[in-house]
Amino acid sequence: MQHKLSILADAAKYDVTCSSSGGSRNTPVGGIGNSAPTGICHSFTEDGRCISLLKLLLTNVCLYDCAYCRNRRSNDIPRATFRVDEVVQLTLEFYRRNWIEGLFLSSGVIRSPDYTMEALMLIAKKLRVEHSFGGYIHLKAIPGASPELIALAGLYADRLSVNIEIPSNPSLQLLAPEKNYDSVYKPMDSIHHAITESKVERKKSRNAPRFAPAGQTTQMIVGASPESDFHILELSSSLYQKQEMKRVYYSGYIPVNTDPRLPSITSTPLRRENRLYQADWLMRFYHFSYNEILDHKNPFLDNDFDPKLAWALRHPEFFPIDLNTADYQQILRVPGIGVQSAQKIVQSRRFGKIRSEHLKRLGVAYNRARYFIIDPSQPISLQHLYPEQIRARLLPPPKPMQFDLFSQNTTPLLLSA
Amino acid sequence: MNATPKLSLYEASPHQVMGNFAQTLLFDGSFEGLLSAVFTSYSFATECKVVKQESHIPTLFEHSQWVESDPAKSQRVWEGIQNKCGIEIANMVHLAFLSPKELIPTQINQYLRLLFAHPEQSKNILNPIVQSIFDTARQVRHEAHRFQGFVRFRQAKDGFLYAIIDPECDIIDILHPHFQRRYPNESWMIVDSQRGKGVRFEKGLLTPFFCDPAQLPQNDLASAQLAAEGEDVWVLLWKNYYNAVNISERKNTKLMLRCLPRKYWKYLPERQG
Repeated sequence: MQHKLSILADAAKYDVTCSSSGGSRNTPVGGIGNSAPTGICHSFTEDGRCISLLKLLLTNVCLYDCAYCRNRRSNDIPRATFRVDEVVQLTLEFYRRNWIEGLFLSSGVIRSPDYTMEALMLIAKKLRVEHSFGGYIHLKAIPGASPELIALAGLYADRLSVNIEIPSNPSLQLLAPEKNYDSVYKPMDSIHHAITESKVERKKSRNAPRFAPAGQTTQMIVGASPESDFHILELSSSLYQKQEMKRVYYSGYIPVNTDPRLPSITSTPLRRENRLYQADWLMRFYHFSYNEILDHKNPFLDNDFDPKLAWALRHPEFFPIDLNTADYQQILRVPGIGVQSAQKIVQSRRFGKIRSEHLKRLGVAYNRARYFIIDPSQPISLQHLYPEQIRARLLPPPKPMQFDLFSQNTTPLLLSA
Repeated sequence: MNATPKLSLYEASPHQVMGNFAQTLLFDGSFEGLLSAVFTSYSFATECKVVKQESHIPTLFEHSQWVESDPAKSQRVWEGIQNKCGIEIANMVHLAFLSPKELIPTQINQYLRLLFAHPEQSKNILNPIVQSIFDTARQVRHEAHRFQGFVRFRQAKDGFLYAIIDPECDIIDILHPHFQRRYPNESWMIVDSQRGKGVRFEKGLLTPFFCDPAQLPQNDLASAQLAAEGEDVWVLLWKNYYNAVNISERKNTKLMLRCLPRKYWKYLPERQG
């Protein structure tokens, strides 16, 4: 089992739509486990990411041949398959030692989408019904599986997800000829439908079954295809509105396969992924719409500045604002003030006037926020600056170039033909 | 009114924060003792410093006085806080007390004096006294939340699940309800290796206990000695899983250390070696 676990956990590691939050489940009578709504991180890997679930593929055998996937049919890698009882045992033993919050189960497609989906569903069912397991279960819905199986899966899982993988249909069809947006959106819509229906039924009767109470999420790879950030944000916005996604995840493209259809880059676009997450947060918590953050003239997120600061620099007409009289929505728009700081400002300003010395204590990033608020303690020279001047002041300092006097690899100034 | 100029309520005077104290009150280190000391300090005109007896180093010009822990007095103070400001503020004060910082008893005393005089100021975080209590309570709560994830059970030879932790704050009491809810049908125990404090849960009954910290295993390797046969198979599976899930192309040690500081590594099997 050690060998299988190494292979199948390694194979599952690129799927990041894996958080333990959102589910709220009480311990079943005579059973083990519950679900904390905030999520609990049990450990952190060396890449800085949280481990809260046992993230596995049931098998890394796959019928499909998607260009971006390590487990694609045409790759020559060690393959393994878990038995249903092995996954159940691993989950329970890890869980009772408090090493995980629950299970995240995906799979390569083996024999057929329905066959695979049924196996996933059976594992969740066994945990819930036979072992009275109350912990968190996240199942991936296999594109192409029948709606009946997905409907069953939702009864036992806390969260379901289908990965949209590539931000546009033409690009997806180029990189994964067996998939298209139809095969991805169909299960997404049926999950959405089932979640909505279950919520309606539960309002009428407490005994109506819960369907995927932690909602639905999805993931797309950033940097494997030529779509702009504007296109990606437009797509995310529609997923949040139409399919009522709980979250959209962005995963920077890691070049695992060499393939002429994929861009030949050497490093993962981590900065771009970070900016996309910041933009995603703006849409969800700061009430920005996607066409405020970006538009057709600026289709890519700024590398040097976070999206909120970039927006503020493009719209100097909104600033400076007076933190003592502005309303909550206006305060949220100030760069350097987050949701918690904005709430603290609104709550504490009834006790007295908010001044700059309070802001740092309230958790505001004062170095950014100072250019956008009315602050009498600032020197006159720093008040009412133009955006270009603010931009120059906020740019990260250029890294000094170190020329090594004795270096062996000298690049010639003139390249000979 | 006093002859001293009246400062606005949302700013504490430098005297209050820096320390121009009438007396130093010593108490036994328990929350009850702290509340008894608060009760006693009320009879003094100016602020008192409140210090735990065990960590007290007397200075030359200081007047120090021992305060006996009195259940009646501490109950009066506790009920007084709840009546003035509600159970949430009272719980927050208790949380702040669990912090190991030396100034905490004094700061709690200052906060409670402010609270009894002006209850509406109890949530005014522009006041540095209020803010320090809020911040400390948040730190304690945050550490307890982290330990909900960092408690690592092993199965002992007698079938008990045991875990040893090394927190900075005294969080055992706020940690065990989570595990009671999660594992109501198991037998488990969690011990704080520095304070020798632990809780034991068996057949639905929770019993706190104390033991000698020197006799407890001081790291994960020593802790593994107490485990049952075959337990290392599962620990090895966990370590393999931990290494397999890592994406080396995205290595970010700074981020990992921010989320999982080295001080918590002692009893984590996957971070040994």
